[in-house]
Amino acid sequence: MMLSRTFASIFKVFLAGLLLTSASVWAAKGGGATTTTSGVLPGEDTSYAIEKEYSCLTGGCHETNTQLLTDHANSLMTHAMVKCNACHGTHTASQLGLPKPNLTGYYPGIGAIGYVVGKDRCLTCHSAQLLSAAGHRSNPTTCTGCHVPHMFLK
Amino acid sequence: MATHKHDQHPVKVFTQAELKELKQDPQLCNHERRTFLKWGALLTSQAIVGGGVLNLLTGEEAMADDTFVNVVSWVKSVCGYCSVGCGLEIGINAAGAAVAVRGNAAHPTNAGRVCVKGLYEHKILADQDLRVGSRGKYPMSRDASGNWQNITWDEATTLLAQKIIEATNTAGPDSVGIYNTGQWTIEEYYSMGKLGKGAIKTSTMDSNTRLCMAAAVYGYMSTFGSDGPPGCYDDIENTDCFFLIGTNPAEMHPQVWRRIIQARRSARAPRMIVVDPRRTATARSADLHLQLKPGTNVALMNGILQQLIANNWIDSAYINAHTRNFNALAAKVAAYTPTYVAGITGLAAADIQTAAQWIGQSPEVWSMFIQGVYQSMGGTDTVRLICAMHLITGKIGRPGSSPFSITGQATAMSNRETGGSSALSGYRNYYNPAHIAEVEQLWNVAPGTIPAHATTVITSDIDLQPTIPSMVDMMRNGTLKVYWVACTNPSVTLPDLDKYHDYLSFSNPARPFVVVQDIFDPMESMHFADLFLPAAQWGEKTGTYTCSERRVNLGRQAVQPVGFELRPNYGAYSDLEIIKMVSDKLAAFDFRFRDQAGGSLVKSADPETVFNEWKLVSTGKICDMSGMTYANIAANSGIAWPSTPANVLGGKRLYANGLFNTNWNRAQYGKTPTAAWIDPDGLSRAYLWAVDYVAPPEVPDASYPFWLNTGRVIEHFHSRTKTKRVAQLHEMVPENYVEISTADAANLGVITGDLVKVTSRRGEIVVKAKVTDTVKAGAVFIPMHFGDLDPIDVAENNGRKVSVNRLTMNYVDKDCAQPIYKHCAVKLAKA
Ligand code: SF4
Repeated sequence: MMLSRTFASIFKVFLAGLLLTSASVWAAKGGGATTTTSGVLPGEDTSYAIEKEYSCLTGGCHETNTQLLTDHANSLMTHAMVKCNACHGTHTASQLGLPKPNLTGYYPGIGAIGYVVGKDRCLTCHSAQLLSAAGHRSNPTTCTGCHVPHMFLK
Repeated sequence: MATHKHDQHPVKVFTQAELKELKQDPQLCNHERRTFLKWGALLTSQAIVGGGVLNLLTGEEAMADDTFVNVVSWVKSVCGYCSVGCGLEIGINAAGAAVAVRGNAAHPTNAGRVCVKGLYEHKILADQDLRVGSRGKYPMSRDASGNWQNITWDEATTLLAQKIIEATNTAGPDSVGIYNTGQWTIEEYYSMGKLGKGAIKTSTMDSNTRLCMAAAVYGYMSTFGSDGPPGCYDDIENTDCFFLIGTNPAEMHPQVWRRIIQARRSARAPRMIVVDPRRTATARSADLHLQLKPGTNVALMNGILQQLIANNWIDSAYINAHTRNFNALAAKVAAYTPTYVAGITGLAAADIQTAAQWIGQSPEVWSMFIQGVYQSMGGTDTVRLICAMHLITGKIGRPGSSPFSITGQATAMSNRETGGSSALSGYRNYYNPAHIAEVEQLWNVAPGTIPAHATTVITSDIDLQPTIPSMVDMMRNGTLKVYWVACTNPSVTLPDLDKYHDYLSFSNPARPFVVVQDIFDPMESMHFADLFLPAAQWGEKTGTYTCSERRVNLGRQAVQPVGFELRPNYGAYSDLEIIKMVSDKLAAFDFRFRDQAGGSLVKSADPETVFNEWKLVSTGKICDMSGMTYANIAANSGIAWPSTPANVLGGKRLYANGLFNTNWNRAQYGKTPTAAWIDPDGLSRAYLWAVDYVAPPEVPDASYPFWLNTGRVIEHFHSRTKTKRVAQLHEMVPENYVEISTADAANLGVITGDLVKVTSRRGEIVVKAKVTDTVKAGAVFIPMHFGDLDPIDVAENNGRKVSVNRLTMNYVDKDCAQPIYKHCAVKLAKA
C-alpha cells in the first residue's frame, strides 16, 4: 500500500515535470509568441502567462488541446495576463473536496470538470463595449458566438 | 466566558471510495460528455460548492461560478487590493449578500476592466465563500492557559486602553508602538494619526508602507521637497518612451499594464525599456530589457545620467531655472561610463547607451518604479536619480513625462497624506515647529503635545546598522510595552522572521503586550497576540481611498460587517469605529488623553464627518482635498489632489510650473532649513542628488552561491490573508515555490515539483522547485506571500517552513529604513 502510494507520487511528479517542460518548450519555441493570424502583435510575448498557467496547461489536462493552446497563446487577453482562472475559476481541489492541488495542479484521474463561461463573466470587464452604441447594437445572449473563445483580438 | 472555537468551513469531501474510482479511471481526465455524466454521478452533492454551478447529473451546462442573475443592485465602489484604484461595482442579492463584482465602465482608471483579484473580491467577505478559515467576529483575549477566549468589545477596548495607560506611566508614551497598514481609508488613517500623536503622544508609529514605498517618499521629499507622484495614468497614452524600472505591471498592476499595452499599439507606438533581473511578463515584451545584477540600480542610473549629459540630451534652460546642484551631479556621474557601469551591472555597455539615447531623444518619457527600486540597495538614491533624470531633461510636469512611483496597496498613499503612521498630517514636516503648531491648533491639543521628531521605524537590526533604532529592536531590548498591529501581518512580511518571532515568543519575558486587529481568524500575526480585535473590511464600510495617481475614490459599504447581528458585544466593527472606541476609553480613563475641551480626540465614527474634518487639516497644504466632497468624488469617479473649492479638478499633474516644495515653509522633510534640498533662496527649485553606487551588504559567495530575489504573483496579495481564502486565486498558486534556472536545476539534479531546501545565513525553508528561465543562472526567486504559522498552512504544507522572509536580511535603506528584500545570498539543496 505504502509502496504503491510512493510509486504513484513519484510517477505524478515525473509526469508533471515532463509535461511542464513540454509546455515551457512549446512556449519558448513560439507557442507563446506571435503568429500572423493573431490577437497579439510582433513583440508582444505571452509566454510568461502561459508558463504561469502550469496548473491548467500541464498534467494531462489541457495541454493536448492544441487549438486552445494556440488561440490562447495568441490572445491579447493572455498578453494582458488574463489567465485561465479569471474566466473559468478553478475546478480542481475545492470542488473535489481535496485539500489542494499540487504545484502543477495534477492529480492522476482527477481532471477538470469543465466550465462554460457565461456572458456575465465577459461583462465583468466588458460591459462598456456592450453598452456603447458603437460597440453593439444588439444584446446577444452569448459573446462566444462571435468572439473566438481563447483568442481575443482587441 | 466561553472558549471560542473557530468555525469550520463546510466543504464536501469525497469519500475514499469515490476518489479511488476517479483515480482508477483515466477517462475521467478527458473533457467529454460521457465524462461529464460520469462526474455528474459523483458530484451531485458538490452542486452547491463553488456557488451552485455544477448540475452535471441533469445534463445542464456547468457554468463558471459567477453570474449576475441573482444581483438585485450594484454598489459603486473601488478595489481594495492594489494601488491602481480600479472602479468596481459590487453586486448584491436580495438577501443583502455580495455575489458578484464587475468593473465600473465609467471609471477613468480601468474603464470597466478588473484583474483576477478584483473580479473575485466579493469572495473574501462571507464565511461561506471562503476556501479556508473564517472571518473574525469576536474580540478575544488569552486566558490563563494561553487559549483564546471571547470577550466583549467593552472588555477588549478597556483592556487595550489600560495597557496603553500602564505603558505610558511606566515607560513613557514612546513605549506604545502602533503598526498599521496601506489598506485603510483616509478617514481611518487620519483618526489613527490623531489618536497616536495627539492623544497617546507616541512617536513609535509606523506602517507596512515602510516595507512598501518608503524609498519613493524619501526620494521625492529630498528632491521635490514633498512626497506625491507628479504624474498620472493619462501620461501612459501621452508618452513616447516607458522606462519601467523595478516594476512588473503585467503581474502586479494589471490595469496599468493593460493601458500600456493599448498605448504601445497606438500610432504613437512608444518604446518600452524594462529594468529587471528577471524575465518577467513585462520584460518579455520590452523593446529593451536590461537584466541587471541585483542591487545595482544606482550604478545603472548614474550610467544613464552620464550618457544624457555627455550627449547633451538635457534641457539646460530647465536645469538653470528649476534645479540646483547640477554641476555636482555632472561631476559625480562622469566616472560612470557605459563600460564602467557594464562592469557593475553585468549589462552590455551598448544597451546602457541605447537606453539613455531613447530616454534622451524621446519627446516624452514616463518612468514607473516600485519594489525592484525601493527594496533594493540604494532605494532612496535610485528614486532621487530617476527624478534627476526627468529634471535634467525637463521631462516632468507635462503630459507623457513624469517619474511615477506606484505603490502596492490600495491606500498606501492615504496613509502618507493623512499621517496615519510615521508622517505628520497633511504632508507637514515634523521638524518644522510651525507645522506642528498648526496641527496642534487644529486638533485642539496643548502646544508640545505632538512628538517633535519623526517616527521610530518598524524594523532594523542593530547589529548590522547600529544607528537605526526600530520597533523590532525595542522588542529585542524590552522597551516596547504595547505593540498594536492593525490591518497588516508582520509575522509573514517582516525580514529575518526567525528573530522577529523569537522576540514575540510567549517565552520571552520582555515581550510587549501584542494587539492584533484584523479581518480573519486565525491569521499568522494572531500567533503572537494577547488581544484580537475583529475588523470590518472592504465592502463592509464606507471611506475614501487615494490611488497611485493621487485620485481619491469613494469606497462604499455594500454589505453589513460580518457578525453584525452580534453587536454591540461582538461582531466586526470598522477600523474607524475601533479607533474611536479606544480613543473614547482613553479619554474616559485619563485626562492626559483628552483634547483641551476635555473630550476624546477622535470625534466621530461617521466616515463623511471625519473626511470633512480631514479636509480642514489638508487645506492649503500640498495634498489639499478641501475641494472634495463625497458627492463630487462619486460624481467624478474620483478626484485627484490638490483639489480646492476654486479648482476642484486641478490635481492632474504636479509641478507643471516648475515650482517645487523645497522652500522651508512648504517642505515636508528636513531637520533644519539647511538641509541639502531646502532651497536657500526660496526659489522652489528641485534638488539634484549626486551619489555613488554602494555594493549590497551581502552578495553570493562560495558558501551561499545564489542571489535570492523575492516578489509577487498576480493571484496573491501580500501575505495572502485574503487571497488564500479565494479558491479561484489560491488554486493557481497554492503553495510557495522557488524559481530555479534550467542550468542550475540540472546541476542540482532538480526538476519542477521537487522539494528544495533554501538556506540563508538567517534561516531555512523547504519549498517546491519551479524550473524556469525567468531567472538567470545563479539567481533564484521566491514569492513573498506565503506564511507558515497559520494552522491552515501548517497542515497544507505538512509543517514545512515556507516563508521566504525567514531567509531575507533585516538590512534597511540608510535614508528611509525600507528593508532590502530584493537580494541576499542563499544556498540550495535537494530536500
Ligand atoms: S489592477 Fe489592482 S485595483 Fe485593479 S482590479 Fe486588479 S488589484 Fe484591483
